[in-house]
Amino acid sequence: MATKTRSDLPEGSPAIIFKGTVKKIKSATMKEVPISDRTAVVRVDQVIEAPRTFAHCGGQDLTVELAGKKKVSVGEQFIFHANSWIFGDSVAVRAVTQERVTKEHLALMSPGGEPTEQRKNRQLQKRLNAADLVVSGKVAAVTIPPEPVPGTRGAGAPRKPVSEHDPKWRQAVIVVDQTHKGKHDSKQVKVLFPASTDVRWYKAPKFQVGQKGVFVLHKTKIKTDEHHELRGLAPRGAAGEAEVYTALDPADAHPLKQQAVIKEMIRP
Amino acid sequence: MAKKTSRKTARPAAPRKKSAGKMAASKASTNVLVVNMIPRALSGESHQDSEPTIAVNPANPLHIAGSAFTPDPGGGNLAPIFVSVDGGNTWTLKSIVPSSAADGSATADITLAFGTASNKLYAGIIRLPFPPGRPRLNILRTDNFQSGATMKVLVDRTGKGVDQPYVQAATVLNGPDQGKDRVYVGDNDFGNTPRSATIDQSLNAGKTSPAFTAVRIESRSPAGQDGPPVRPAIHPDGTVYAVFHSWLTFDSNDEGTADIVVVRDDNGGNGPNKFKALVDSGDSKAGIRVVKRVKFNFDGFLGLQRTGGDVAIAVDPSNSSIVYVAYNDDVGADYMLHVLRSTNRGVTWSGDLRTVRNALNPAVAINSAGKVGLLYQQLTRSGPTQRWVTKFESSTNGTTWSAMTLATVPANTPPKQFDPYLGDYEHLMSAGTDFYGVFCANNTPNKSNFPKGVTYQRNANFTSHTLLDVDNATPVDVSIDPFFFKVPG
Repeated sequence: MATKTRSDLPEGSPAIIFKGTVKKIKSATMKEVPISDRTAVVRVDQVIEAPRTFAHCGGQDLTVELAGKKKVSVGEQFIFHANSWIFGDSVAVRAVTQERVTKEHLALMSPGGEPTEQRKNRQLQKRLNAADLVVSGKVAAVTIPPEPVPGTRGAGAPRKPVSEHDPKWRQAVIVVDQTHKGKHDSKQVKVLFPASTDVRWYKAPKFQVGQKGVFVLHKTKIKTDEHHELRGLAPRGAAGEAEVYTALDPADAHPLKQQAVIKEMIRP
Repeated sequence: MAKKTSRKTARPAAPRKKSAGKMAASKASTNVLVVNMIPRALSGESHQDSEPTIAVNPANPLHIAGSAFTPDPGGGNLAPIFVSVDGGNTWTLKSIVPSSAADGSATADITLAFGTASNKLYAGIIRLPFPPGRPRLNILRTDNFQSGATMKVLVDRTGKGVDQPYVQAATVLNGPDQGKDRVYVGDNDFGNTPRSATIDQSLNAGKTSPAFTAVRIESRSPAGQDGPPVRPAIHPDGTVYAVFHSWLTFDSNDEGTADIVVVRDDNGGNGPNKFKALVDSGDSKAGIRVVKRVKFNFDGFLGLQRTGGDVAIAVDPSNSSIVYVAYNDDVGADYMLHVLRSTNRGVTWSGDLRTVRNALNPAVAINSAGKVGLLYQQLTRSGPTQRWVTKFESSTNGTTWSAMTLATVPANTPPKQFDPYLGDYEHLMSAGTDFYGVFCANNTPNKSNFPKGVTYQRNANFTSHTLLDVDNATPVDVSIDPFFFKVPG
């Protein structure tokens, strides 16, 4: 059997990965959990990967709704891949999978940094894998996307729709210093980003003139007819659609000092 | 002429000045319940949990659901709701709302409502992710809000975008439709511009796969579209009202004028002329223009909270002829809250029964004894001493009001994480004679910030005014939390 490592973890990013020991079956750590044959009290022996909410759980008991139908016994140890379920005085999670702990899991359980950092790195890896272009450079300008040429499609059309969730698109011009992934013919690359601070968009990177960094860019098709400020981006004669680079995830912009780490993570 | 207020410039605080409506001496109530809804296991969180709603189960008022912009603490594909099974004294967080881990594990809007006798909980949400500029409407249901099972998707519509769904529900109590849940979701549907004000309704939402119909309630020709808030109110006799912001003008500075329009249906939205029972004598169109040409600024701010035109509506559960409306407009440099009433089924309306300067997020409800409750948040004082004061007022006649302060907290801390800072709405409802509500506020554990008392579930030291992590020792940053309250009628 092959050694289990972090890269073997299932896609879909469960919230928490931990090693735990089953203490009690058909039980729960708080009264708000609907108890069934599949709920168990589990002591967390080691948190392997988790968001901040779960990082403190080592040594504590929590409730696990077990995955699948296989019988488990008190005292057995598992690697649980779980998502959050109920938070009250205690915590209940739902296991996506649980694997009996074997020697093959040693690599997974070896100290590899803080559980929160592990999770963050995996999310970054996912963004890098999906990226079309990863560059280092400096933001030379941030502009409102150009208006349509008078007489062309969309020119003079009224703003619509008006919503508090409007992304308020802006265009950042990045002068490229190094290209780490993908191909780009020019020394400049234009990136669309939402300037809106609405709940929908606040986590997206907000580019600033003079900002130096590593930028993880994704080709995105946008229906320019549906965005009053993007109508000028549609190629002449095209049916209101433009392919642009965007950076919408917090993991899409990094300070330049991260360059070496990110280069290392990029898979050919 | 109204002073322009941009989102870069907060309005001045309200000085001590008399507002419309008589104020009665406030009686101290010993039974007011105020509870910080964040569970103890989340004591370390410092997210901006703004824009709250609650739904009390009329069939069992011990069962209450709540919502806010609270993300799944585990960052999973489900967003959470707050759940109480003891009348709001304690709360848990359960992740049962469809969302997306890659997009923040939350919603971009959420409201909740129980059927009055079915125990079913309905939700109207903007589901993440959605294409830029095209918010995605979901209408959801769970038959057992305690079960922890993911809510069932009844409607999933993006179209050209659907904004700010606001759900209300009622179970038909007698007649041929007895036992059926009627669900009305007010929303702003960009698929039907310029007449975007819409009620998505189902007259039997409790069945396995209910049909929903989009009823367009705007009969005029607004300026491009209507405003985001469309709020329904249901009476058990089949009367359904809705209020919305009918935009007349909208300029390049995001300033505009609007009519406050009320529509009514006398048969629960059943029949050929849905929501056309009220006809304005001025233009013979459906929908009474309760107030004409109010000014609003869609890019305005009051303190750190964005503005843009709030509306709220409530119908007297014991008399469907009596209906109250609250709305906001720009009056000079002020963001003014107004309360009006109709006693003849929305045909004619009073003048202002109550006005409050620089107050927003109005929510109104009427209890079974005919007492009206009003919830709002007012920005007071100026500069670094500015405070958000959350008040609950009540009146038995609509003219004399009794007020109590539920919270008075610093207005400039914590810093804003995103818009909206407090929420584009909060919520108030009644069950029997009791009023139940929810608001968002700075969560500093300081008894003097909560004059009616407060209970925290999360770890907090009220002597040092410090929030504490799950270890009950590590300090945690102040943030915005949802606070449940109950005021006995």
